[in-house]
Amino acid sequence: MPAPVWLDPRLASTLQHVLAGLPDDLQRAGWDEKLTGLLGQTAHPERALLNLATFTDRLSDPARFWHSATANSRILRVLMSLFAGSQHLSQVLLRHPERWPQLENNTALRHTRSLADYRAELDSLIAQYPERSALTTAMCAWQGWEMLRIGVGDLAGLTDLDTVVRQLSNLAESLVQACLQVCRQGPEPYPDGLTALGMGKLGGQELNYSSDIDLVFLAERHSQTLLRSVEGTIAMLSAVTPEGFMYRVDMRLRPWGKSGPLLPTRAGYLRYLARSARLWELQALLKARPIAGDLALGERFLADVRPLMAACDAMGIRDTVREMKERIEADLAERGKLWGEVKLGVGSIRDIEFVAQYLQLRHCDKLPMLLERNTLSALRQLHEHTILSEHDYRILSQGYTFLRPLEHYLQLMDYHQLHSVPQSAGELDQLARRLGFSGDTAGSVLLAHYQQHANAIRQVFDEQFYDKSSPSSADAEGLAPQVVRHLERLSPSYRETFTDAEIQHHAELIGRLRPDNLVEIEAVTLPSGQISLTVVGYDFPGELPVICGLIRAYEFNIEDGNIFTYEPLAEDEQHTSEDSTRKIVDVLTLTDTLLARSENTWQHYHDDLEYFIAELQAGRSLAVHTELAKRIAVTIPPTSGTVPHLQPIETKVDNKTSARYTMLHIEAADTLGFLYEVTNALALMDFQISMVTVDTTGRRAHDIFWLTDRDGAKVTAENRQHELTTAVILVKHFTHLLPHSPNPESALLHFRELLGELMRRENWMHELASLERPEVLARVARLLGVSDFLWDDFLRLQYDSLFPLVSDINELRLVKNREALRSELRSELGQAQDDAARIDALNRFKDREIFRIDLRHIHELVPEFTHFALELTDLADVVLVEAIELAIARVAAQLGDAPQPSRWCLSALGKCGGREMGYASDIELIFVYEASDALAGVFYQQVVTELLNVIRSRQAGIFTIDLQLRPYGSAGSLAVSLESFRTYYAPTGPAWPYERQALIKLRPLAGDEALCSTLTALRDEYLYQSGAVDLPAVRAMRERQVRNLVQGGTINIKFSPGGTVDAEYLVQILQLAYGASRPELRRTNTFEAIDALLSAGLIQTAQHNALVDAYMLLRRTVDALRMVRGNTFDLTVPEVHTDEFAYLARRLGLGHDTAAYYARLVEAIRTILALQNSLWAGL
Amino acid sequence: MSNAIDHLMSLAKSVRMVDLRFCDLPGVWQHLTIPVERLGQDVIENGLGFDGSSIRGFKEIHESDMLLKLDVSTAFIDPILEVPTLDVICDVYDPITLMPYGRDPRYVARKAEAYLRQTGIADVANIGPEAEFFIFSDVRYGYDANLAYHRIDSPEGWWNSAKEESSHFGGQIPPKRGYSPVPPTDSLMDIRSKMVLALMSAGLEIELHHHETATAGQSEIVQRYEQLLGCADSVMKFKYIIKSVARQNNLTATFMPKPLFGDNGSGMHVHQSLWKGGENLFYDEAGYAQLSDVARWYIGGLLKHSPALLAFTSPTTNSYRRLVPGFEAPVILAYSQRNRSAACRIPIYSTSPAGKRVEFRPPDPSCNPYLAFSAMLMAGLDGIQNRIDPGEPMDKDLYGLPHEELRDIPQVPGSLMAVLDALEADHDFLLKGDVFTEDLISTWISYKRETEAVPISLRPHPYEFMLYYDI
Repeated sequence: MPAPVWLDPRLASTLQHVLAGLPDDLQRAGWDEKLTGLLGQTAHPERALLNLATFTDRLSDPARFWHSATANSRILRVLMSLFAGSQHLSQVLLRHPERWPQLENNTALRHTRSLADYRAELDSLIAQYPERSALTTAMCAWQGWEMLRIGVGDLAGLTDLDTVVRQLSNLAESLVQACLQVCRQGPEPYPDGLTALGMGKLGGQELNYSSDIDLVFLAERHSQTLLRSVEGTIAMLSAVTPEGFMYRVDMRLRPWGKSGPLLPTRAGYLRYLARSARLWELQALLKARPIAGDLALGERFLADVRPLMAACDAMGIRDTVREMKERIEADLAERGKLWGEVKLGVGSIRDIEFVAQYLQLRHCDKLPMLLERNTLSALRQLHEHTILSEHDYRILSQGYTFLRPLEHYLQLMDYHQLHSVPQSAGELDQLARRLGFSGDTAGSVLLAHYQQHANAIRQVFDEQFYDKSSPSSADAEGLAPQVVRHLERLSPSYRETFTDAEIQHHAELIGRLRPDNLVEIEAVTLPSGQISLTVVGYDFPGELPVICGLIRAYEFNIEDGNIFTYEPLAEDEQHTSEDSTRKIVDVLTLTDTLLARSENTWQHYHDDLEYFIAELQAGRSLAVHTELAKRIAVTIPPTSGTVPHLQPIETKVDNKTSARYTMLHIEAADTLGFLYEVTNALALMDFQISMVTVDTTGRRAHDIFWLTDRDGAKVTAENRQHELTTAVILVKHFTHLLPHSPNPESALLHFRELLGELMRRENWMHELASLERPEVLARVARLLGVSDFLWDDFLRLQYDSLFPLVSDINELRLVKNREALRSELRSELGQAQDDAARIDALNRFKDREIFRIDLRHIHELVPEFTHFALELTDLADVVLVEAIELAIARVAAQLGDAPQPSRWCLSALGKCGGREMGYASDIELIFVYEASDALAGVFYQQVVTELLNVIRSRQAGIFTIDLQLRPYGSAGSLAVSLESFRTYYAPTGPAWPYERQALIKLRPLAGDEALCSTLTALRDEYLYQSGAVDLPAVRAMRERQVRNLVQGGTINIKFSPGGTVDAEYLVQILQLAYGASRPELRRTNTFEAIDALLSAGLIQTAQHNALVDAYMLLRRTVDALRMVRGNTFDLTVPEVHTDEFAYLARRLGLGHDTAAYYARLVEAIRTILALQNSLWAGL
Repeated sequence: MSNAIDHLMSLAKSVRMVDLRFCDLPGVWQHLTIPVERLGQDVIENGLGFDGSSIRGFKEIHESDMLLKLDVSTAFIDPILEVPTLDVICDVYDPITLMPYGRDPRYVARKAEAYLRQTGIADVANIGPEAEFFIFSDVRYGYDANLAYHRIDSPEGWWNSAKEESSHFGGQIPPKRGYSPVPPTDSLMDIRSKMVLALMSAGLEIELHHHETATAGQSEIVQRYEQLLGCADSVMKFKYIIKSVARQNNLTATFMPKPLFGDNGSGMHVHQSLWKGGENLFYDEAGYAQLSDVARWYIGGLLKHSPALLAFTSPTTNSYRRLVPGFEAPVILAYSQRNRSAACRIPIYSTSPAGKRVEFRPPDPSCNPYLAFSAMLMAGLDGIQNRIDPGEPMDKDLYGLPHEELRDIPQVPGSLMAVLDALEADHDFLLKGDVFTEDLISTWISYKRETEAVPISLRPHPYEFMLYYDI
């Protein structure tokens, strides 16, 4: 076996040593390789290996362990995550290696143990060890093992944050109680009044792995006896034994801190709080909770403290907290630890706690229910009482849920009080992998998430603690006039157009131009209310479209205009002239479409124009047009309803009137942005515009362009003239239809690109013929405006298919059922000569049909959302059936006359399995075969490999075959034997709960019918049995997803709490919970399952409808997001104020009402979470 | 426990004073004395308060009150003092919470022993230190803005062989020739024997004593190995008794590592072995030099962490005047069965399983033994846990190696500053099991920098006048 890549050569002998310890039969069965693979999958393979080596060395009967572990390899996985994730907890097992069977039981690992459970066990320990130091050691051992149990559940992803921190808190609480009991110097249970207050995270029941525990003891009256009890308790809790120690006990929160008496009296403490305490000490008491001794005394004390809290000065609190945080950060900065400090730094856990505590103190006088000790509960209360906005609440609660496990996993490794994100790439990667991030970029993704969370948290913190300062507006530079004269460079018609005074003035303006002053403008309001705008500047290619586009973006209409450009100098003149650069003089008459204007409008226009021209000059014309399209798009009023008829357009090419130029006359109805688009199109086609006059009468415009071709000569060739007129007509039509596009911005951009593409083609005139039909052009406009994703498809890959599809409306209306698809595909495959051609044909068919279905969806030809999914899934089914047959045939051919081995079954999982695919879904598959002989495995392994070659996905993620959901994931064989399917997924098997749950979507696609039935029967047997529901594991899994896949401070429509995954899990858990007795619930499709739950009476009609509506909205949003982004990966909801969000709203038929859409999204998310809470409550 | 108290009380019957001893951070014994009459249940149970603010490396002034709690098992009759006195070694506590004080070196050693058991690797770490020292007849030194001066003397000193003022009988020992002619060349045998007797009466087991290599009274008394904490206690007793017996005899003993230019310095080689269930884990009949894998990994840990480790084992600026190539100084980070220039040596005097051990040679007696022993154990354990392979042994004369070959073998850092920097960068292995704390390590580093390394670097050295005065 070659050395695995992860292996440090210095540990090669250690790996050999471990593998050599495997019993012979297991070595023969290939377990050495499998074990190496499992090690390689861990977050820290070397550490895992070292600990595994030590562990097996210390076992009295390693062979027994190996046999047991390989028969049910769940223990191996648990040990791997333990050994790689925590040196400290590994140490606990290494001290007591023979206890490993206790880690085998998932149920015991994730079982949430209560305070009472712990107390009962401690009581029996106390009875068992009468001697104090032996008892202390025994308690440490007990605590260590319990930490191990909690930590393993956490590391293996079986328990969520809440379960972890509650158990850690229960554990500490029970130990404080037990020690206090053991150390009592008087009668139990301290009737004479002694109580321990848990402070900090212990008080909040949110303790971490490696905490100091903060305690404050309190007595009703002074007593040396009670003081002895307290001293003893502290000594016991912190005693170092061969089994470690229980806690670092921190007593500094008591009155007067380090120098204060260890056991204050209740009255003394209150007096201290009233007279001498700092505000932060009251703040700290927000978290105080009586945890041991005379609890009633503690409650009495806290009841007396609350009025003090309510009475404290809110602004004083704010200042104190802010100053405290500033001090903390100054201290961190001094030690060079400000960045990446998750507990105390910028955007840290402390920021969240301080915001919560400040708001609690500030508002508790009126809202005493705010006084929650637990941070997340406090945030929830603050949100419910509208003190924290939805947005801020989400940022803080998600930030907290992100940062706490980060802190935990840092601490778990060596039980140090580490709070800093590692700086070295290696350590960062390991931490990320421990946290469940994967891939080569794990570390940098974690870092990015951390940074997002920290930034978002800090922003909320700043808003709460600092007055937002208004941004100062920078003064624009004043213009520096300078007069230079130059006039003779313009055509004679210029002189005819303007008066001498105007010409004089233009010349003055031109004189002001300099390399750092590219353009001069002057806007004068005419008596008619119209505006006369003069623009002079240097001439740059593409400048005219920018001038016109920007006017459009400022929401003016060009009514009339005269556009002149300096004539080029003759060669010999260039040497003599002072200034050979060309300049433009544009004078336009504009009407204002807005009622009110800021007085700086023209200053802004000038600045924008200058900026854009500078960009053009720098060669960034794509960026210029992107920006411009965006700005124009927002001014285009949305129009719904039917596609309007196209208006007649008259064009005439005149080569006679002017000696130097071809004149193009255009007469048509005025349309928005026309001048922009047409100058753009002409520039794209390399026509050079020298002059333009615009004359609008009523709604009709008469425009004249003076043009030359790219060589500076008149446009004489007939086809070139035809191109000119066709392009103009196309542009005219397009701009006419623009308001109907769901996203005018991308339509504008894409149209520009489309023209460019079109015009590079040989016979584009011919292809354009169909475009001149209004319904076709309307469809193009819609397509262009809908999706970057489809646009890429179209331009780069589907160009050939576009015109047939968009021009043949009937083809698009057609619903192709499976049979139709199959026969079409088969006939296309039949025409292929060889395998390579067949593979091409298969993929071509697949891509074309996906595009067709997508277009049907865009054009709302698909009756319902669910039908769209069905069409895509049917297509996938048909393609996969042919693909697998093709793969089998190819492998059989490659292997010569290999016997046709045994039975097989190809099944879909995930969205494909549920017949609910959407835009850019991938396809999750599992291939199972029944082993007839040893060769079968080899054969089918190759078949699956071949399948991956046969199906090509054009873009990552889209129709990508995903085989991850197989036993052992990427460490397992691609083809799965029926036997290993059984052992892996059986309820006692090593599959993680979420892996087993994924089988709920298993749907056979092809293969032997009997085997297919066997698989579905196994699926039902393994899934639908009582006790199959493992809610903590589901929650833990979800938490990991949120942590690893959701960007800080955002909503991810799929993975955020309340996203589509939660809706799906909600349904699946109910299916699993009740499916044993009700076979009708065993559906692979989510909507069908929801309906089945209703029919079975498991959910109410109202719940059903709410769920369907919410889920549907989210699914449609997913689709829309994928379409607009053109990728499958990012499902983060854009910010409400962004164009992208506005687009989503439009796409979902909500017009401009982005606020309403956002509200509906938030409502859907809440609905799903609320339903999950109520429907899972009884499980 | 009650047995130990009984024993203490019975010892107390024969004394008039009880001396409570504890170790400051740099590693020097401090004490408070009570009349024996005060030694009652209260002192035994509750300890005795003291002002910790003037103890080096302990608390600042504003939180000065601390508590000494007697470790009654350590009591011994002081072999030096005229007034019969019972010495008891104490632990330092917070007087209010009664929690052990984090910078008490003994607490670190206790935690190190506990951590050893927590790892499940072994239950006992045996430590055998060999502290060398010089016995001089005279020492004087001074420093001022305009003056720097030290002068030591010993009748054995080679520099005295031609001295005119007094009569000589050839009693001087040439450089590096002190090991180990019999008297009369060895003029210090009786004094060492007196020291040994005093040590034995204080409870130390002594294996042997002899004159050491250097001229002018370099000596060695070898104490038997003990478990870590007890051994560190013994080193404290050792230094106390050696210095005291010398003084009683109008001599002076010093443990500073390099008092003499041009001759051997005083090291404190530390022999180490780990034991579990009465078995020496370092022995394997089949291994190189009968070393087990565990022992090799332990060496791997020591060598890997040596630069940081030396900040505790060789913690003075003077240590680095010893740790220079030559004079048998163990500056090369390698291990060897025979070679004394390697940092780790495997002694071959004994082939018995019980005698198999690793000898770490860079330490010197200027260290705080509690911290030094704990740090070495932690480094070794880290080596075992991570199966750090120390590579091949270096069984050639490392000093004889050609320069190019030597260059590839890592050496110990050359200054206190350098090892403090190394400790700052590499101390995670010390923090495991909370044995060392960040607080202790950062206090140690800043103490050593501010009170030792920096002051030395600020002062002109007399030899600089020889080099540069005429420049």
